[in-house]
Amino acid sequence: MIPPPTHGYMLEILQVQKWYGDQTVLSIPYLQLPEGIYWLRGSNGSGKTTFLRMIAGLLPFRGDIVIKATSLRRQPVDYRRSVSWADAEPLYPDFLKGRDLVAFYREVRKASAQQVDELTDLFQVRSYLPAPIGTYSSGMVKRLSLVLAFIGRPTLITLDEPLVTLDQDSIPLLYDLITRSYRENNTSFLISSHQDIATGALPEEKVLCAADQTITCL
Amino acid sequence: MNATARILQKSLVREFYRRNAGQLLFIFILFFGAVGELEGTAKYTGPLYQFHYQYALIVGLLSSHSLSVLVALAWLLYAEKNALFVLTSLQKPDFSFLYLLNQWPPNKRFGLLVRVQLLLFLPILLYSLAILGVALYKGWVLSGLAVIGYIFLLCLSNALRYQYHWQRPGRSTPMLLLRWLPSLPGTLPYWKFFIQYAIKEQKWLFIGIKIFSCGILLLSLKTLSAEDYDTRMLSLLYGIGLFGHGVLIYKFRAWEEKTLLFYRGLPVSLFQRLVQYGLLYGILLIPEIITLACLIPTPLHYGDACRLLFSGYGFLLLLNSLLFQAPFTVQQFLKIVLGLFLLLYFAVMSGMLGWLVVCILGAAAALFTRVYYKYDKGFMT
Repeated sequence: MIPPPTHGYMLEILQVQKWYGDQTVLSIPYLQLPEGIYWLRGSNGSGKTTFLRMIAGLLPFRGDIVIKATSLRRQPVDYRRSVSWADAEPLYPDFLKGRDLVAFYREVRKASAQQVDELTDLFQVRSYLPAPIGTYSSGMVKRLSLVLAFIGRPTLITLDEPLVTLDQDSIPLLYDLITRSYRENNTSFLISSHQDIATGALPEEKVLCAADQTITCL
Repeated sequence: MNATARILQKSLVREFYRRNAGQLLFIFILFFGAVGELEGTAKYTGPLYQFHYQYALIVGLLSSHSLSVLVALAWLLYAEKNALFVLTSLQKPDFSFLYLLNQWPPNKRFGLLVRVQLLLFLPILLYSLAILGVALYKGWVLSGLAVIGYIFLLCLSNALRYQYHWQRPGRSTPMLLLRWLPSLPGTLPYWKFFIQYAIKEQKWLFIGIKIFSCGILLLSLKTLSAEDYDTRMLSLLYGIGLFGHGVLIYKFRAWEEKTLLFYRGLPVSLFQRLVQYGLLYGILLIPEIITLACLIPTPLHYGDACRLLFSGYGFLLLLNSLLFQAPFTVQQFLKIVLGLFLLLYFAVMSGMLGWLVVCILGAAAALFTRVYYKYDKGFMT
């Protein structure tokens, strides 16, 4: 029996369990997180990516996840409207053009042209959007995935290793965008990163720890 | 032969024949080994029989429009196969040294590429000489010249494509067969991703399945008459063609899980998701729809055409839904396909195809809504 969500939290994890075969990957009896920016830390294989993908609604699991009283189980579409995700090593069809994907996201997430223009300018991807993704470098694909993650007005954005393959010039831009989204739109973030996030780069950053098949807030 | 021509011959021509030796041998045996009996050839034996068999075949090719269109299409497909191989090879890092040839004048480079393409077309070129000989012997000079002209047109257009690519390394070159397809304006609905994938990355499989499926329909219906109207055999043969689509659907799902994972996390309702797959498989069946439309009301009746069409559509949707049930291996999936074919067999034999259509459409929708969000490849990431 899954307990009812408690209103007032940005994210609630309710009796979540995830297995692969006989192996328990994650077992989180209860976790409540208020709005904020969270840095998810843990060693390789500790279940960070699985956790982020479960929150993004990409993987099935037992239990429920609730974002601002919207349940993944009961309101799958509304829930997915309130969460966004960028993969550590994003993969898109080679033959699609960047602009096709941006337009697709914009349509599904009902975002404004102005927001999309701002994001593409910020990440400096506008010039290569007309080209097929197969011609992009891994850094360009990463930037595109970040643009896609920020399209719309999600309550929570999960970023899996956002600094990997990103060049040094783009990292401060990403920090700045995260800070602005948090302060201006109350957007929360769950970020997994093996690379240290520069001290003071993100406001009120809190740490989550993935270890022993569970996630705890430090 | 100079050093450059030798390098091109070794890296492109020889490699093409080496990789396709099996297929080319199969086609050779098909045409020259496993010969059947044609009109007027029965009295000959040994090599003389082969000669007269090929002569009769060429006469048929030159005098029958439908046969000549079929042969022209086959040669076009072979030219596409050549182009795919050369363009893919030129994109590989191992072939980057060939871009040194960009220093050559364009006409000299073009000459080299024409030579490469002619060598790739050698089996057809040799056969076309025999066609030209027969055409001259029969006094059909224009037909003979048209055959030769068509072959040179194919070779020159391919050489032009190689030249285009050579001058623009890294830029994807549209395939000849794709040029006539309309561009996809505006935003892309989800189903269009799959159509693009089928056309750009599975086109030979796609074309093969369509030729087989529509060809089966046309050939089976040739034997159907008003006095002896029985569509059971036709339904079963059509079923085989349909299940050929299973391979394509399997590839769709594997590709979707690899590169379109993000879609599952987007705020799209289950109904809208099902509609996207419904549109995809409806569009995929357009060649069959056109073929069936050409065959009604005679020799095929409206009711049977509808049953054939909707059973095909239902099975494609059901196969798609089944692939959300679990990450099946190809072998497991083919067993499921075989099981469904047996179901179709019993429905056809017992005259219950109409009921089966309703059941499989319902099952496809119910299964999809039940398993879509539960699908997991089962690998820890």
